[in-house]
Amino acid sequence: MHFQGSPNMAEKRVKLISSDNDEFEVDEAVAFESETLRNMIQDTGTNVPISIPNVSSDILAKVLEYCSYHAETMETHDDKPPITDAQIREWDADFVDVHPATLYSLILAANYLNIKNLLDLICQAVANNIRGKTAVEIRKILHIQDDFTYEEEMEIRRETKWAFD
Amino acid sequence: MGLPSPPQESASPVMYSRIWSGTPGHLLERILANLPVEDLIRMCKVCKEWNDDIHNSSSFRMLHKELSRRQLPWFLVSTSKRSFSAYDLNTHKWNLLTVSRLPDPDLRVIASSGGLLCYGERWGELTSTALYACNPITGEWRQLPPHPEKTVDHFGMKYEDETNSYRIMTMNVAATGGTIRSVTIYDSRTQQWSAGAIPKSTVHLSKASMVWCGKRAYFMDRIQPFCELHAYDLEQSTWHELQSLTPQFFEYPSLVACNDRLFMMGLSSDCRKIWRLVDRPAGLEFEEYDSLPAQLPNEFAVKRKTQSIGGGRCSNYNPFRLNAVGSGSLMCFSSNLDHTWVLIYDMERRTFYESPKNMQDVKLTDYVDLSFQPCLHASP
Repeated sequence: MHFQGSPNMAEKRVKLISSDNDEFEVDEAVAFESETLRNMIQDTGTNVPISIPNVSSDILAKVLEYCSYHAETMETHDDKPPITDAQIREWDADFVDVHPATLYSLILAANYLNIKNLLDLICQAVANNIRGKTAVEIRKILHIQDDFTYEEEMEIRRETKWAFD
Repeated sequence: MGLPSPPQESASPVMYSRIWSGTPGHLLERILANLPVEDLIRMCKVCKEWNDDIHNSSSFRMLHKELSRRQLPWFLVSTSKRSFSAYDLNTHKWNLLTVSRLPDPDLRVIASSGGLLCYGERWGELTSTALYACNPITGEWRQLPPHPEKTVDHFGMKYEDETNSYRIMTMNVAATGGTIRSVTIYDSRTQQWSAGAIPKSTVHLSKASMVWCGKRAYFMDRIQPFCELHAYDLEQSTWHELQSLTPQFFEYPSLVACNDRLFMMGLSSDCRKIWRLVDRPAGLEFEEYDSLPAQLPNEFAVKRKTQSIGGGRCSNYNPFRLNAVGSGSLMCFSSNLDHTWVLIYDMERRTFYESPKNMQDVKLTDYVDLSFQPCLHASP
């Protein structure tokens, strides 16, 4: 799979290998969206393919789609109007509108690859899903035990009553 | 993509559970830190660890400050017995909060700034100097060290986000006339009260509270034909006197700070208006900015009487006083006579809207007009 960078950048290319041994080639600027990759490339250069042992090819493809779009938004073109913040927000919102399992894999990949903006975007999306949920529902989802004593629960109920009214 | 993509709504909690139950703790923290305060507080009930993180962890507080979007303010309208009632602009709900951890049951909110409230006791015009700073969301509080005086006449609080610190400014006026005889300032960074500068000229302070705009506290003095504004600069510890042309008023106006600019709201001959302070070549001037809706709920149920204010007689004196407080680009108008309602003005859209009526059975006796920015990170 190839991700096209802009034509005016005679860029170095970087080879990445997913956990299931698919090879990806991207512009250095795209890989640099990831702090982890940036550090690796600065250590070893672009000649050696970089293996990413805990990200599968379908997730790595999604992550690189994110990185190339965001690397592109940083560039200025004389012939094209710049991408507006509203356009970026819309693109981001579409990007995270995926199956929860994909979102979960993406959050782990973004964390491992240290792509702060992507991590923030996904955390925000997950937080939005949590918003309407009750404590009981959250416990069920995350397999958390209710470890409050009756007295502790009464105290919390009293102190946080305003948020439940 | 090899994964099936059913619509998200149909995903059952069990399915989510299979996916999310192994989430590493630091990622869960990051997710929670995106939640607005009222949603986060509901999450306190999940387990002890979450409750502790949300209420006590300083690293979680900083993460929440970084990741959660800045929320709209709450406007406080009544207080007593460690409680207050506030209109929350994020949820459009009335919140009733009690900080039951505070040691004295008779405390009430007397000032606010950012995410902090100052609690104390007040008898009539006098404020006791046994003071407590408090973040009502985390429940954290601190008693301030003894003030050199037993009571103070004027009182204000200023929180600074960058340094997570606050200052409290108090003033005492002389028994005769209105001259300020002492200015005392508490700085949370040194945890001490120290004497501030005293203005050289006589300042007759109106009863209205001080308004913070930038680093300065503003006070209004005599109105008509000139309004004297006095400003105390907290950084320089200097007094500044500003004169400006004012329109004619029929009740003492309120000073309001919005988006770091000074405004004034008052009753003019026909209706209540908002003026903006502008700097003209000839000097400062209050220029008309907008008018409030003509008919306000309950206002005309109150019997009008004739009373003289500021030297001139005014036939349409109305005991239904409306006070104003600003926060960001929002102004909130509330009345001493009706604690169940506020009027909000959005300066950017130039629109007014009324809050829903507070239907909670709230028995808080004292009126306040304060704004509050709910957050975890402001520490008393």
